Amino acid sequence: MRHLQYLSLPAIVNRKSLFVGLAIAGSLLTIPAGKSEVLYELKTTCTKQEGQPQSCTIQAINEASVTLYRHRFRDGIETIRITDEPVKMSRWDTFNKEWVPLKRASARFSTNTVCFNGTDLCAINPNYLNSLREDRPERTAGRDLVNVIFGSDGRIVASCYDSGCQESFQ
Amino acid sequence: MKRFCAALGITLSSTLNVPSLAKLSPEMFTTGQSLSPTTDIARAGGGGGRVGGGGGLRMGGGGGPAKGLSGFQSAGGGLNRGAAKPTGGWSGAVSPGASTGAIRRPSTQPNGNRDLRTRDFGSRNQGNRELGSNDSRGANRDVTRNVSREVNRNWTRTVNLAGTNLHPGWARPGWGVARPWRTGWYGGWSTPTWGWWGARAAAWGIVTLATATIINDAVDTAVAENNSIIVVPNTTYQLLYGTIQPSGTSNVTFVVNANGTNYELTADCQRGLINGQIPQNADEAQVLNAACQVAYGSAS
Repeated sequence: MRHLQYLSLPAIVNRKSLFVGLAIAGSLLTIPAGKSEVLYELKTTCTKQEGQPQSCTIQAINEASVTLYRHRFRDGIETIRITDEPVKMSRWDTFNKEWVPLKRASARFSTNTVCFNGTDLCAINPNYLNSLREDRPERTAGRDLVNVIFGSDGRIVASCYDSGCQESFQ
Repeated sequence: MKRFCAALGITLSSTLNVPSLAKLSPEMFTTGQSLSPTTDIARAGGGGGRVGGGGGLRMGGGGGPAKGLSGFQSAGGGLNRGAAKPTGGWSGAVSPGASTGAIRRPSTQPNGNRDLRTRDFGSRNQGNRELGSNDSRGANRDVTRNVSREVNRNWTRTVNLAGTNLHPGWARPGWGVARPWRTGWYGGWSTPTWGWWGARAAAWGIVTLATATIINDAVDTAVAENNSIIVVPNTTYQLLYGTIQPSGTSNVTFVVNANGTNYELTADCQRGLINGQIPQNADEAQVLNAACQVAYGSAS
């Protein structure tokens, strides 16, 4: 919960208010954290910015309403946050310290590959695809390519499968 | 109404220039065309349910359920959080060789034009079976034999598969990498290394077992056809590959259909045992080998 680092304490003018302020801050620290669960850690291969494949470790962390995918490279971390209902995806901007909505995401079952924002970040993550496959068997059976486009509000505005990605959206 | 509006949005969005993933990376996928940047990104989130394209009509004309369907029930984004644990569990590692190959490997079915016929394996138990003889992959696939044998008396555990998930998450295109357990150590030999193999094989009049290529191709074909079985090469047994579950590091449980009955079996792939015994004939050895190959063999 990195954003918690930026909580500011209320103005404190005396010891009593300091105590109250700390109590409030403490409660704020516990509320949004919720229950986090590491689903898995996967040693795999990733690419960044269409670069060469490189080793990475994906840590999937489930929280109340989001799942975080932390892609750990030798030279840094790329974190993707996915929410359900509605499905939204965003990337943690380490420079500006904020979540930036993704423009698109895609997955290809036959290569076990998931990509975010085009090929800005791609990872071989069979766990994600296995989960998706079982969670939505009718929708994914016989599918290979899935592509989703997010609108300006972060929600999905279009998606396509297989040849539909070439035919319907051009 | 909300869903209808969402679907309408999909139609409108078709005017967008949205190349496929296949076009995003020439190295990873098959064709190349870069995406035009989208700039209208904001963080404001709207409510509502899952919307988006995909799906389409679920029912054909005529009749339909009493409860009306709009035709957009399956409309949705196609992706989700991926947080539901699959029945096979989570994988902890993807072997570097396999993953490097996979990330560069173009899809084997880039167009998605698959025949999604479903088959009733229960009605396909008897007689001659040609395993993918029209396949264009070039492998020797003529593995038909007209053999009818009694099932081993040691195969005592029959199972009813009603309600069983025969298509676990890993049993899909890319299954070789998707298997969420340690793989790749089985096979790779010209003849099995099991201690009992030489004498028994000579007695059975065979020199080797089905190759990994033949077995893998059979699974690939079955997955592409959404078929839950493969015919074990050179036998009339049918392996329900989706039932394969590793046990320990080198054992596996699985279901085989023989003469119309489903048997749950175990195999020790290291020692070459099936239900704790040395195979009684060549067919059983083929069953053992097929199950071990799908469970632990190399496959990309």
